[in-house]
Amino acid sequence: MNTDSTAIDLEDLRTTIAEVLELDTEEVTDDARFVQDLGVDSLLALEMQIALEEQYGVHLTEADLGEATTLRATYDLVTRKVAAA
Amino acid sequence: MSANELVVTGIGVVSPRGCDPAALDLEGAVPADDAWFDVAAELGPRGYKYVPPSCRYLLAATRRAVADAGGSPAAVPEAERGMAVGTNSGIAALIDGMDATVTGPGAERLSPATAPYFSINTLAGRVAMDHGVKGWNLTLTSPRTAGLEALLAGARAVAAGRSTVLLAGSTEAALPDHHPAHAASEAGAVVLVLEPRGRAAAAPYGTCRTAVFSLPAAEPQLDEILIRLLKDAPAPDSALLVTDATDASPLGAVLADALRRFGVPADTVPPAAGTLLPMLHLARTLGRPGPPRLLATTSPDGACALTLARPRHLPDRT
Repeated sequence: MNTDSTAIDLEDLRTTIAEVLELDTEEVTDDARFVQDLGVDSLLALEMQIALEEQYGVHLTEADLGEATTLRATYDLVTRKVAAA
Repeated sequence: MSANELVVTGIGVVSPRGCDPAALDLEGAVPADDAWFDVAAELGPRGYKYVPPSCRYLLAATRRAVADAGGSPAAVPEAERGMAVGTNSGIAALIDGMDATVTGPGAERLSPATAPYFSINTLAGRVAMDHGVKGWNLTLTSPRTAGLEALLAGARAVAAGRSTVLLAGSTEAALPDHHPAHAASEAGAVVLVLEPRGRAAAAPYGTCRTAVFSLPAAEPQLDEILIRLLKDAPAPDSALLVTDATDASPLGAVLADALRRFGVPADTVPPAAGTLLPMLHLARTLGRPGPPRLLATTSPDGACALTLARPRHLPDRT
């Protein structure tokens, strides 16, 4: 268990992303690629950006979005952003 | 009877009043909330989270109409498919919500996937994407009359050679709670598939012909308008006027008087907030074999639309 006070919950993140993408949480596996495997387009990527910014109180740039290609990558990104905030 | 005459080969209705055109319950008011509509059953489990209700209704009604027509729009090239849609309240609640977001947390919190629907044209545009409607696409917003007007505008576009097949209809969604006309909100959609009689594979439901004019400006020409509308057609045995008897200008009375001169008795029913009610009456009239009927609607500012619906004949009982 991660005891870092800035840690985010991976399952909460999975649920948020699944809701944004209209998917079952089981489909959002740690390494499923958003674009290639889950059909995310540019509008949905922006939708995900807003959901993450609201939920975690961080600011994400276009470059950040390019980095968030999977749940695992997004978790790492948001964790880093939260820690830096 | 011309091979080029447009006939209705498909009818699609989604409404809290029912989805079977011939069996629509058009008495009284119905709630306009979204609870009656099963988006997953009509459109599928995914892909519609960010699509506003009026667009969902229009997509569902179009699917039903196209299926009812045996898929005939898909049989012509995409560039020969056209669509005309009337709506008044289609994005009213969405715009209201966007205003609240912009003036509240800020424009950067607008939903990117919903934002394109700030344009009223996007409702029919989304249908065009799903059904390959690439000939032309038109959205009309005249108060109350835009649904029937879509039939006229669409027929003109087909006559001008801009498409072979026409999808024409109306969609509405509930007005915001604080809107003065919220209680009269409509929800649902009607879409008709029209195509030239000569290419219609499906047995047509009938035909419809529409005239649009403004009163009192057109009152001196009203008889002439009716003569043109009723030309070469069996006389209608009745008319239904969807009009507000409390309008400052007595449009309903003017229309009813004119129809009486042509021997057509007219009933009047109160309008709802948008364009849908006359289209539901049209769908039900065409869905049932019977005599020709006139359907009219008026707006408080004097716009009038009058559609002659000629359903298919009753079966010969001899």
